[in-house]
Amino acid sequence: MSATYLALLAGALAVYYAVPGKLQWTVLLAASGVFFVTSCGWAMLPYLAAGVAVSCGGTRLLARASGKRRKLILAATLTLLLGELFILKYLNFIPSSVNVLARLFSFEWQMRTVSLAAPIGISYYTLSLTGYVLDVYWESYPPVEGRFGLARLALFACYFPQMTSGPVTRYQQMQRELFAVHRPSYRTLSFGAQRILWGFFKKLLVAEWLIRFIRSVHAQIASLPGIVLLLAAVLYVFYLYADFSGCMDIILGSSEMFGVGLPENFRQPFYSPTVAEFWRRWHITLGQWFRDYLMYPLLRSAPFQRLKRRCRSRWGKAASKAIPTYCGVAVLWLFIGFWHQGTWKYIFCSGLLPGTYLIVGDILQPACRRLRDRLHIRAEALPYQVFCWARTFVLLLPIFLFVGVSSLSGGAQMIVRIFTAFAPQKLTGALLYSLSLNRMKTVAYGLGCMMLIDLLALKHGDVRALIARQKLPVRWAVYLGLLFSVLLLSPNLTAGVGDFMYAQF
Amino acid sequence: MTRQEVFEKLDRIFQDEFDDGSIHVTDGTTADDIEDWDSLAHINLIVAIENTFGMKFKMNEVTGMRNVGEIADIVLERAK
Repeated sequence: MSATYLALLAGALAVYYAVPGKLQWTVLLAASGVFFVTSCGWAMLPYLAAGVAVSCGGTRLLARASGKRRKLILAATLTLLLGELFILKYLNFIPSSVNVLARLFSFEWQMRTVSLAAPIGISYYTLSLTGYVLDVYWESYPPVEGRFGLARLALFACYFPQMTSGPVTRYQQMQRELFAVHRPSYRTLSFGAQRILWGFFKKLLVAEWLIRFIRSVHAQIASLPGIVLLLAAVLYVFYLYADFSGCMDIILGSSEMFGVGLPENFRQPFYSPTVAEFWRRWHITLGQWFRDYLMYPLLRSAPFQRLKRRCRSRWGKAASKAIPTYCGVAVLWLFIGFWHQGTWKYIFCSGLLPGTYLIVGDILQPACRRLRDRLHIRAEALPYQVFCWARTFVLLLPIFLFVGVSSLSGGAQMIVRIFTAFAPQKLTGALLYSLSLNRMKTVAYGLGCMMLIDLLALKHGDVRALIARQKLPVRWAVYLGLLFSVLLLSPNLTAGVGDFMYAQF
Repeated sequence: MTRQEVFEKLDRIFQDEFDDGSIHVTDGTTADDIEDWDSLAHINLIVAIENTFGMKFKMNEVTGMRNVGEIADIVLERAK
């Protein structure tokens, strides 16, 4: 994400609104091609083309087949599509797992890992294409036909604003957006630009300052007091949110300028009363994808229905609902964990931990409600809501602590030191300064703005619409304040936006 | 099968699934109206409706239905 991206965006917008409406999608396709090639080179193009061609060809065959042949075609299409993703992104999962086992049992033999280059955004566009193939298989809608069907599917897969980090989209929803005629309007252009600016604020001002401190702390976990490690763990949660949601703001804002609406990936996650609610508000499209294309079909499948009947006959109605559902949740989160780079660290902290939280939370929910009622606490009372938000944040800390460190052992070491070497007296301004947290007021200002905007969004919906309704001096004070904050307070503006955390997945 | 008969059966399914005999669904009932109707309860509800009415929802129907009225529409459509 750099000046090149902004130049591409500006150029694409100029051509997009200059050509006849019917051709607008071809401009997006050409811009996406340029973005793809400049991001990862010509050599990666065949991989992307193969994924699109397999999806296109496979779904056309599906539409003409019936019975067992349909299942065979589906299996072949998904094997090719997901096989490409597995080989390019997750192949090392096997040797690295074998090596961990070998080390555990003190074998000296180690399997060789390989380093394969993968196209940008492959784990995002493969999910979108897989969803398209399954939708056609389930007859939710017909496949893309016609002379330009392949090109249309290619645009769906590699639409350039969303290529790096999602959101994961669905064809039925996106075809209405991508292939419609869009006229330029002050509202779409200005709202899009405002959202991009807000994304830069989060990324350049909040995330870039925070990550300097977090990296310094993570480099010396063994020697720092627990209180600093805890502070780094807390700030990492905000860093990740600023980085990922800032990236989403730039993506959704860019797309909005073309008149193309993309699904939201975040909905004020820190204002979630429960952990389950947090995951419904964090990386929304990924969770929904795995729910709709993996967990729901699994829970409706014959083996799960048999399990349900067996549980009912042995343990009663409550167990027959809970056990199969929890099995489905476990599978869902294992896959979500694996999707994050295919390493055991992510399987643990982005899969097993959140899945366990959800299951335990669901089991404890009735008891928590009874306790709340016994204490005569109103669920909608503000102090109770604030308590619930804080509880959710504290419960999520261990998950994000592990996400932030490079290995499971590093995370475990952090937790041990937080409990055994807390040493609050060692937290001094000089220590934080030496750890690159030397602009505390700027960080506090950035975080404060971020949380305030989220709170406004929670209460009023679209904050940009709210600002647009204000008087001109107020509106422009906000816009210019934001712009000059980015220009004057970012740590290194000339270096541009660094890598986004979620672009690596 | 009339729409009223469908709603009578839906009432019983909802009451059974959410262990709450006071639930009575209407066309406009949504997940916001029933506290425990989350994404996990949704799929159990769908399976119970499918088993009761002897029909299958398409996956896009499972994920796209917005209120009980839409569920009743699909059930009646399949019963034709």
